[in-house]
Amino acid sequence: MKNSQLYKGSLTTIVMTLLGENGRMYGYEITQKVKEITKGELKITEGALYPALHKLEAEGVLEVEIENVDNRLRKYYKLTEKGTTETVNRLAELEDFIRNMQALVQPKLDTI
Amino acid sequence: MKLSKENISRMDKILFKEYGIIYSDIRLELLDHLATELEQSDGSFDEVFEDFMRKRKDFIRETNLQLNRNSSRIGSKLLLKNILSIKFLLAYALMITVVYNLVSINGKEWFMEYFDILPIVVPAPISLVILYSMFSKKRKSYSMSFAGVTNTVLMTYLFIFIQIIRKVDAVYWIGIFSFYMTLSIMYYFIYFFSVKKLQNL
Repeated sequence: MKNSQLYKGSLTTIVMTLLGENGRMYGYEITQKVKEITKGELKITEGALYPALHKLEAEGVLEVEIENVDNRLRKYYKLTEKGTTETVNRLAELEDFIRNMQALVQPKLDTI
Repeated sequence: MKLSKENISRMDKILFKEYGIIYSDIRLELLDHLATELEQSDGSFDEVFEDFMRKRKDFIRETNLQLNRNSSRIGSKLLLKNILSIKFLLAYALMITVVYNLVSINGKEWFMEYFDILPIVVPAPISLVILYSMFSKKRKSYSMSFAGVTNTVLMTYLFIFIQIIRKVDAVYWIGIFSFYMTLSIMYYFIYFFSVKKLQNL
């Protein structure tokens, strides 16, 4: 992911939001989708993506479907019911965070 | 380019032999990621494959390392979660009651003579099954890490606590023995219901 502390800790929220919007996705697809949406600005660290997906799966936030695609097995991830609720909560929390940060930082940015 | 079965098989072998990715669930995911990425390249498989694998070696190593660490953490958490569950605690309370009554009726010496190594004997069959699966090509990271953690906990009984419960007269030895006995029985249930469910490949 883009080398900034601001983006740290947001990987799972990004993944969950994408899965909420797209139904089910596989690992490579997630990395490409993020690149596409952010026009290459944000690049997910692939080494961190799969551990995050597995952690969410173990927590019951995601469930998997495995299919044979193009001579290999592919693991698709999708949100569980618990995951859908959790995504809504996280997005609400993120909105609050952005609003508060704007209120705190915007006056200072205007003076620069 | 589209990869053939032979191309995929070659990649799989490299991940297993050169990168030491022994768990099939980790290899499956990395293989699909790399294959999908490689399919975006221009040129034939033979032209681009070696260069591609060289460029992606850090990603492969890092992901394998992180996923192995992750599995260990998940395996430990799963064990702890099960030990703290109501089911386990009820089974533990029942075990204490049974052991306490047996000892009250027959005495500690009788109990130690027949049952002190039971927490090690009971999980032996499942440990053998897991040991066998360790050498299978389809070994899975979560199953192995959970089994590793659980066996380590059970080994503490063999190397430390069995000596303590043999020596002490205070009644708390029943609590220690019952804990390991409950764990050794619950091992089967946790492994076949929780771990297998999690490791749904």
